[in-house]
Amino acid sequence: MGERRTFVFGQKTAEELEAEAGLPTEPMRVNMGPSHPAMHGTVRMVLTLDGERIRESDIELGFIHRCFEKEAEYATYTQIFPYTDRLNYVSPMLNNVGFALAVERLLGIDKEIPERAQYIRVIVGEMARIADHLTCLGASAMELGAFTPFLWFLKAREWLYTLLEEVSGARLTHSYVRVGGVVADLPTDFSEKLGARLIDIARVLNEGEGLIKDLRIFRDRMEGVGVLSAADAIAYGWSGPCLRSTGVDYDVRKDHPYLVYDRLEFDVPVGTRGDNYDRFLVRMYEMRQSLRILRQALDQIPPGPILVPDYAVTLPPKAEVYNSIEGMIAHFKLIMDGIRVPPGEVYSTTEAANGELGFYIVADGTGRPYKCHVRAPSFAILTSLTKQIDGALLSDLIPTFGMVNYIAGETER
Amino acid sequence: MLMIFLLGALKWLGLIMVFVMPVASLLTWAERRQSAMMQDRLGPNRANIGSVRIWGILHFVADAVKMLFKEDFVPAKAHKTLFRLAPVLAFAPVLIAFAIIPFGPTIHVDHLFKVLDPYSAPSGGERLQIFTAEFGMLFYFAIASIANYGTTLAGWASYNKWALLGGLRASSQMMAYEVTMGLAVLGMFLVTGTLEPGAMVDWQGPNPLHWGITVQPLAFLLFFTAAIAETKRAPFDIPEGEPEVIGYFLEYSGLGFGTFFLAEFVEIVFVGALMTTVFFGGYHIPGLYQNGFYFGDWFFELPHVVVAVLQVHAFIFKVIFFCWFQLLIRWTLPRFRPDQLIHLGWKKILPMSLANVMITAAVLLWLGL
Amino acid sequence: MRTGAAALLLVGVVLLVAGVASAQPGPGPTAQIAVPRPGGGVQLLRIDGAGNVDAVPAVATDAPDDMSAPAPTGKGAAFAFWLFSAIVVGGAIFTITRRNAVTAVMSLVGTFIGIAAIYAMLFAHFLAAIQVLVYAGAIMVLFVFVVMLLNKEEEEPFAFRGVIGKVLSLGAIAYLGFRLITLFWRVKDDPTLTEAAWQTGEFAAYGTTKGVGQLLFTDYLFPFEAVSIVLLVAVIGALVLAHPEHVTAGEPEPEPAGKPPGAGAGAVAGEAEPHV
Repeated sequence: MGERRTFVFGQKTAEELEAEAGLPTEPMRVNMGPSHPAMHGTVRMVLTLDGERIRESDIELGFIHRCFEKEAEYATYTQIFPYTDRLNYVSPMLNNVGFALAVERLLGIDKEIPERAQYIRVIVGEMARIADHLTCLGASAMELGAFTPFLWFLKAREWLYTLLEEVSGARLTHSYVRVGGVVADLPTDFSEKLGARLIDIARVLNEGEGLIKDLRIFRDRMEGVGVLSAADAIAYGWSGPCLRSTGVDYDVRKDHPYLVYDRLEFDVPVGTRGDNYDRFLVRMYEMRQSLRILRQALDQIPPGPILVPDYAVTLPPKAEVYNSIEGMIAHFKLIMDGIRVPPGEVYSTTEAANGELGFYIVADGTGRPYKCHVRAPSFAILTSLTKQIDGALLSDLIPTFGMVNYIAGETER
Repeated sequence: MLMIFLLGALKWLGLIMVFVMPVASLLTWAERRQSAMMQDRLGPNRANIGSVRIWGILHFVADAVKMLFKEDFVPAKAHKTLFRLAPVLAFAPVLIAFAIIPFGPTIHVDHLFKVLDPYSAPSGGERLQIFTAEFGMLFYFAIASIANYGTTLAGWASYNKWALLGGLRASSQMMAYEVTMGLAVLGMFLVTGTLEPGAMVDWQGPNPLHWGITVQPLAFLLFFTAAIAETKRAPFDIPEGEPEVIGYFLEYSGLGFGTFFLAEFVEIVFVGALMTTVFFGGYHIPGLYQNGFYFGDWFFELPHVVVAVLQVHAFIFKVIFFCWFQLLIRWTLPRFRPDQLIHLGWKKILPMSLANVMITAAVLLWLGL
Repeated sequence: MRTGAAALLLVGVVLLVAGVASAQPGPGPTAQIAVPRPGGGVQLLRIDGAGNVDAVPAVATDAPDDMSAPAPTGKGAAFAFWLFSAIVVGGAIFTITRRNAVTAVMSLVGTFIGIAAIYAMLFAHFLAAIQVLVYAGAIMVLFVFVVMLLNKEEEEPFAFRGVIGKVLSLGAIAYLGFRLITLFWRVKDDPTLTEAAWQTGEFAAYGTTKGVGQLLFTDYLFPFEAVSIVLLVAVIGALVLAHPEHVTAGEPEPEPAGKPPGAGAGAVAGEAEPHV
């Protein structure tokens, strides 16, 4: 009952109405916490929503940081391989291969790896790449509500896991590659089995593609969503299928060939728009190209040794270890001290499933690295996620997050 | 008076307890088994009582028992009354809506074993429909709009931002598609000249060329789409899209969640029954008239009870077909984004329904009907 | 400050109640009319100025098919009426006394459903269905929607303060009570009004969709269309008010529906917007 004020509607003064003319709504802060069905791995996003639109997003990492780099400083080079398995835990073979190549470049023996070992590395690497893409596309489709392609792709992935288990003894934590080669040869019937499975996988890809690729609902959800221009992508340090979807033709296998990729014929699919649908298509076509590579590799693989015969780097065969002093000493030194890498540093990249996986190793002459840093492809891609989703709807976040294939393990190491 | 009450109760028992609830419960199992078959895997086939397994059909019993024994948890800051009221508001309307579904022909008890004359139906007789009202379909729309409250209140009363988002999405989606549903089926009202489902079934008759699907195919598509959207099934299951916004029933556990869950499956059966009634001739079998089968020149006489039993079975079969079809759709299509969903409802289905109504009216006028 | 608005509101409510309570049924048809009976024959009705109808003689005919229920008299009907009235009044009282806005809205929904039940008892079936469909089912859902979005803290319902408040409210309640009592005094317990409507053939379409539809599109066509235009104006007004403001060129324009603008300078080449 105080001062007199002009009332226009009900309780508000004319000034208040002026201020409210734009009908602002209070933004809502939502936490897509570490445990959320759509968050791959454990990552936390704090979103400020205005209705359904994302005004601000803040990504919090670190829930799965397991101190890979610190552990690497206390482990011999061979002992680091199980750690690399857990980096990109969807395609562990590619991590193994990347790390092995980095150490071999430091040692200077990367051109002397036996051919059979190089072909085997290519084969298991491409199998891992297919598994990664299958998981990514399947999980994204499932998050959009298309459960069936998810299960079909996982069925195909199971075939690959079974084969990889026959090769390395484990479905996920292979630790199959060693500095200087691979730890064991392929099983005798591997070629036939893989050849048959290639046909099966191609059939599953056709089915899955046929189900969702041209589906109107799917395209509406994915097209034009999560767009990043090529210039922005290069500026942020993107690589891999995400970079290729923006139109930049960069594939480490083609531009800086390693292993035997220069002898294999394959195409690199490149998108145009940099949206989710292009990323989806790039991954689909990359899988088919991987099948092509696998077919050629299976045809071209020569017989021969699978480890460099240098006992300063690779373990001697058991017969020599038990029957000769040099073998026993070499075995002992390698196990206790590790591979003595001459001092130096190297940054070596390979094309992992998500992009350019880089290992920066500083060696100090002992069997343990002084520093081992991993350049994870999804780290660079994640940092630009806020730019992709600002102003988008909450429901656009889900497919975008799925299609950039953020793997928490390799981002946080 | 007592007879009327008893007959009504019998019809209700027959329809709801013998048909709807078992089918809805079985659907909870069938959904996972059918999806498993579609996805090249086995699905739930283990639940058993002793050594009786029946391909895992007893899973729905296991589900019910599990939900009964779970802790019924009310969040601390939730609004307790509305929190408990919401599942009721979501479940009750769906069961009530079954009152208008005609699941069988008019049964004349004293003519049971005689052959009925199709040209003069005997008077009296009991219609196999719980509530015959002149405004039949309006009753369904009214009741469906009450079901809207269940989801909205569930989202709000949970005191949880994610549930609130889900509830608001559900509310806006259901409202949008209620309107489009009503307009889509308007063409059918024009053609049959009545709102009452029993009269619609009578109008359709046993001739498939006279059924709703042939007379109003566009209305069928629009109505089916809108009905699936109304029941919040995929591809319109944004309110309960688990990977995205977890859903309006986020904070419900035990039987509260079970109620929402079961309500959705009863709605599936109801949509099937509605499609059957309005567009597929209800309980009619092509060629089966009141006195027997007619196939061209060939006539096969049948007594009234056989005709009635056959027709009730036809209704059951058609409803189960539509349930199967809805499950198929759910496991095939990804889901819409909320704004695309609303856009589809208001900007695509609504104008098409209006156009359908106008074209239907023009055609009827031209035909002089 | 708030006193003025609240006083105005209360006076308005009192006037509304008083007006309803004192409403007389309009001048009905002339003294004696003959209406056709279903099944042949003619039914004579005598109707006086107060609207009381006497059937001459009153013979119960076959009820139309869709009204197989008995007439609204007797204990069952009375019980139903008082039950629904209790729901209506109780819901209304709850609406204005609840602190929590959503509970108030749900009470109002209960009120409307009770009103729909009373409509059904009065054989206005179409109106009952529409009441639930439109009022309780659509309008109130929008109310709930808005209340949930506004997220206001719970407040005490408005109440007068001071002597003036007490005097005004007591006076209003006394007047309301007086009008209610005189209303009950005046209305006779005469079932023939609705019974006659139910019995005669001409009114067989009473309360049905067909009956209401025929009236709406012939006798009351102009009000019907006028109200439609009023609703259209309201819808357009709401759209204009709720549409986000246009921003200056150069900034991305927020779209209320459809695809969000691509973040960054995303080049959307080719056919960017898939059309129907």
